Amino acid sequence: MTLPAPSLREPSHRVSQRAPAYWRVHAAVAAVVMWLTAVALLVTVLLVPGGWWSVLLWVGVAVLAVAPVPWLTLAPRIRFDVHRWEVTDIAVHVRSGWLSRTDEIVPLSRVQTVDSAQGPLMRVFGLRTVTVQTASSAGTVAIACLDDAVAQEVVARLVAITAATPEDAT
Amino acid sequence: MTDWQRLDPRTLATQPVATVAKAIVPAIAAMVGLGSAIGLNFALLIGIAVVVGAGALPWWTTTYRVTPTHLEIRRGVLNRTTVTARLDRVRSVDLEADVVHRVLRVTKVAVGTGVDESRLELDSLGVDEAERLRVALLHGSRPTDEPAAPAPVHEIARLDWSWVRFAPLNVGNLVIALAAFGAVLSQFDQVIDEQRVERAWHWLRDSDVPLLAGGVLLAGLLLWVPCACLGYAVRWYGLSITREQGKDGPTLRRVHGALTQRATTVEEAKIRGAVVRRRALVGLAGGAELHLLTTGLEDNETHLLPSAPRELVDDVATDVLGERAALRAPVTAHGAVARRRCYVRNLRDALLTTAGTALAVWLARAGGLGLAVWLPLVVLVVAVPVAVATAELHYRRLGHTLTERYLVSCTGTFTASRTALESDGIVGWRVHQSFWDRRRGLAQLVATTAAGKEQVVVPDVPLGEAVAVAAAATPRMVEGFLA
Repeated sequence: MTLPAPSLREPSHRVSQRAPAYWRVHAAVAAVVMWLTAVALLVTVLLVPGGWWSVLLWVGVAVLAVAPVPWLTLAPRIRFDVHRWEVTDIAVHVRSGWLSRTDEIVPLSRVQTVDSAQGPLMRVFGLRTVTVQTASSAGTVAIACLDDAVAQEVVARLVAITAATPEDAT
Repeated sequence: MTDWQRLDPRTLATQPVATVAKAIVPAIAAMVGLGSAIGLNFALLIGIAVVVGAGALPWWTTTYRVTPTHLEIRRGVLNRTTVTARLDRVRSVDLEADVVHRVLRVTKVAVGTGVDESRLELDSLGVDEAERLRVALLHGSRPTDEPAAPAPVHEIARLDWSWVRFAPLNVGNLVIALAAFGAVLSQFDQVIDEQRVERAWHWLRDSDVPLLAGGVLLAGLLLWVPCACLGYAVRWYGLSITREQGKDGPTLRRVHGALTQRATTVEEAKIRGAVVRRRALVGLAGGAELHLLTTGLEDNETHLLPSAPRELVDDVATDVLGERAALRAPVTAHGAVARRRCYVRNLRDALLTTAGTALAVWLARAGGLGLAVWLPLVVLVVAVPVAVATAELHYRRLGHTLTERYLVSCTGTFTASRTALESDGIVGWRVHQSFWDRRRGLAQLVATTAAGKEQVVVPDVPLGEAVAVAAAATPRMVEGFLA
């Protein structure tokens, strides 16, 4: 008899309620650029006499017009459902992704630096991202889009715990 | 010893040679340019003065000393800088001597303190002085004028000349050699004009192609085999790996090189694992090479052993890792879904290649170039069996296991790699599932670490198995997050 395979449970906390709105605005900026490009292509294809490549241009227009739509509509909602984080006394666990899923776990005894960052757009929404770095360049974990106050609290807590575990971080 | 010491006076000779070797082309150009203006003899004098001066400067301006607690190096005349390293932070002392250094019996000393990319270098010290300094820094005894008490040295491995047989099989080196050859050849592109190319083409068409190809292949082989053997011999001449007792536990020391001799020391406490690679042909001939995963060195994937018999490589790795199972324990296969993934991936690539060829043929024919219509079919007939064979090979080489102290991941298609990473060296986990992974229940398990390439990947493993491995390897870290 084999035991049922273990699985990772959902980390306990969601990201900020305002995160989906931030993601949407963020995606909208990219979408505007793509749509402007699409319009430019469309004008080109209509004005310049066609050749074998006009098919490719039409495909380009279609792709550029449709591509941003999921990021404006579905993605923020799904990401809000998926993104979770949890800090225990032993480790940080972060889950992220919308089509993909990534679970990252970092033990606090191996944390080297704790950063927090806030871009200009994030400031408008009152969001902040906390980043935890270890001795591995591949092992950086970000808890994205927390409420500003929550983020500050998390940073303070992480710093306190990591300072109390004087283990060699490598 | 608290007096400030100078570098070895012989540095006065090694530095100019190194400078000249580095700057020979611009130096000659400058000399000719200057020479036409102020007379060649005068320019030559200035050139010599500059080179000798550049050589004397480090000797004149660099001093160092070992205090009871620190190694201090002082440089500069006007801008004095003093670099210090705490003796208890010294992790490695590497000696390197190229041909000129060796003729003059001096060597470069590089002291690593466990922080990436900050090495203290002394170029150069006399061989005996360097050895005294090395022993003093690594073994804690103060350098004195009498030779250091011989520390107990245990030899782990030594180069056996029969290993040279693997050198010609290392096809990767052949590619590098061919690239270098091509680069040299491209220097002569002015000589090769269109006429010559055309004449060569006609000559080629008139000659017996299979015979010619066979001849070229044979000539290449006759040239490659001795070159490869010579390269191997020069690089690894005198290889010996020894274990010494350092001040905080045992250290590994590797010495090798016929022309440039290198001596590298690694504290065993900094070793987090090892990679055994069986490169395509070398692997078929029963050979393998060994890399160590270490932390806090300039190069964290130390190439410990060159291509050597696999038994010996495994023995050395067992000795270093302290566990046989990490090298030889059977690995868990990733199952039918992972196998299917390998096939789908390769067949997709084969079909894309075929489609690409078809498109190219269609475009070429539309453009009036007569490419054969059956070309895509040929590509398909060749690509599909190759895809199937490599997929099966890739799947068979895929595997992972967890031994008492190590996480083992096996990967590769032609080159089979077996990576063993100490569970204690894991500083985090990432379980990633792409959209397609989620549909198939597979995951990419990544153990992040400070050692080697900073991560060890267990690819295409069933999700439950990935979580189970992570939980078993580092229970304290993962337990709290299990469902």
